[in-house]
Amino acid sequence: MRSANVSVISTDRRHRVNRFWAACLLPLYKHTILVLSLIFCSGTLLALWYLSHATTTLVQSAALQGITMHAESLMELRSLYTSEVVDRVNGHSIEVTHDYLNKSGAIPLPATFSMELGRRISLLGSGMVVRLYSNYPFPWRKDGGAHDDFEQQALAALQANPQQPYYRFEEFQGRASLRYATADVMHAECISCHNTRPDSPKHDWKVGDVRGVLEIIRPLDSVVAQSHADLRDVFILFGALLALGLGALALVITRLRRVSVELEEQVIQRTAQLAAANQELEAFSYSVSHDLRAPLRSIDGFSRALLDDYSAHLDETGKDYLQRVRAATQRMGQLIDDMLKLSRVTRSEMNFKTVNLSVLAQTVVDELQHIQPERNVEFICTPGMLVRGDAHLLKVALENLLGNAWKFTSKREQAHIEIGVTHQVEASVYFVRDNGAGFDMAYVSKLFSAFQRLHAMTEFPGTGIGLATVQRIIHRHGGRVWAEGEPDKGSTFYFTLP
Amino acid sequence: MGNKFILLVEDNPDDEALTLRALKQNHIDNGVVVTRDGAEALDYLFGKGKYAGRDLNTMPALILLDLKLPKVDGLEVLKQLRADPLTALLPVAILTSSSEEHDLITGYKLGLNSYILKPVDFDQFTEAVRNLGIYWLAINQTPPRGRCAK
Repeated sequence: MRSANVSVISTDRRHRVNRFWAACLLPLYKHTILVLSLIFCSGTLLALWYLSHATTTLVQSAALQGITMHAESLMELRSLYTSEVVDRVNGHSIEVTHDYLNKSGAIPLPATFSMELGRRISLLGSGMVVRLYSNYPFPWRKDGGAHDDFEQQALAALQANPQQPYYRFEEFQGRASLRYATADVMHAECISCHNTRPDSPKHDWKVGDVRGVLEIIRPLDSVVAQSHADLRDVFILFGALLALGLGALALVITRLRRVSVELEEQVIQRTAQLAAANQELEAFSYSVSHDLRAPLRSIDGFSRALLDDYSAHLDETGKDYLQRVRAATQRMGQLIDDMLKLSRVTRSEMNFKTVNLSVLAQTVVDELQHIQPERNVEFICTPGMLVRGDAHLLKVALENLLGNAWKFTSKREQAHIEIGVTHQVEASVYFVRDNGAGFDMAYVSKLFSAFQRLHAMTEFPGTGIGLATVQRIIHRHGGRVWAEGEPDKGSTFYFTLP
Repeated sequence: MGNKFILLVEDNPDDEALTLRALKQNHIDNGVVVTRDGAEALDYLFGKGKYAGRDLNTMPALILLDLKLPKVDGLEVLKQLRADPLTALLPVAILTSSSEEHDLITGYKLGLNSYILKPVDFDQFTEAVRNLGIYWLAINQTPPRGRCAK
């Protein structure tokens, strides 16, 4: 009982979750093109943002790599100049001075050499600037100290950590640039000169001291502009592709919508035709109910009148014939009633609720036992069989199934009737089993057809409408019904209710 | 049963004969009035047409009404009877072959007193007519004449 309850609760929850999702997806179905456009546009914007970010990173890392090599070349050149030129002319009466242009036979100081090289590079037109500055500039330098915030920061950072170059991407003279500073470290070959020259601002230099800073400034604006132009091209291309894709999609969706509208119209048309056919059927069954019964009543009534008023004129055979006429009219009346019942099962409205099949089955069997108290039937019923369906129609189905079982076990001394359920993977299968007359499986296909009977009327009475009714009820619930049997052993009827 | 009588509204001569036979067998056939369509029944009850000048103080103790009738059908006859204070409280039983739920519900909504399905079996039919006659003519109390609903 408890497990059955749980399954009903979980079914309810599933229904509720499904309804929630349906409500969420409804706007998506209604405005498919709009929603798709939004999704595509956001996707494109995201991709473009990422692309722009990646390009900037790429430009910066390429610039950094280039500038590092540049700085290393400059430093190496100066070391080479110091060791291979300045040191070797020492003591050969060649003056090494910042003012070498004005003195004949003089060569530049390594720092002067570096600055001259930087000046010439600047003149090449790439916009690159090379600068040397220090906290201890030579007195003849006019701009040897730190000029701006970057230079102060670079001096401080490189004093603290000479091995780690200091750089920033920032505006320089109105242009987006990379400013890259490396430490100018005192080498052994520099010390003697710097500590002995009279114009040297400091005389206690040691090897490894940071003499100053070599800064290279490289403008990036032209590269950035180029990459932005490329990005714009990509954007335009993307946009065009997107518009084309969305256009195609809109075309397909519009076409699909038109097809679905056409289908819907067809469905409406067919439904109307079906409704009309159904109405005709209803009118037909009404006239069957009313008009076919009236002549039957006349036949029966006047037969009775003949028997009552004119029995003196009839011999036994005549009376027997009249009795047969009356019996036939009764049977036809029963057929008409059953036919109407069957048509009502198809027409009546369905009212879905949770139904306790076990309670329903017990009620039906109690009624059968009440009508035939002399019958000795063992009835076994699995308790707590909860299903979703129309209580009235399910009762009619059980009345027919259990009524059949009751009828076809009438010749058994100990009759067994059982109703239960087996839980299969795809559905719960309910069954009604008896040990009655059974049937030959060769005729199983005829079992559920209206007015088909597998037993002689004298053996088991009936109009052959019961199982057709059961099948219609189960089909209206979306389930399946089938049967197994063996002559004289009994039969089992199975049905599912999704 | 004094001057209590039944008005039978029936278009099928067979059914008329059988009903009269059943009434006769049960000795409730004194002065049965038969009308053969809805219009004639209304004429009789309101004293019009060929029944003009009829004493309207004489009203049937029970009207047996068929549903399917020529000219004016049974439910329409019932509606008109209930609309007129003269006939509003007359007991009306529908005697029909139709077991349509729709007819039943409409009938009772219009103020029907009884709905009897004509059985095919004449013995059952006779029994039903007998029960009807005894109940409405002998057991049941009707409101006094002239005190009809206003």
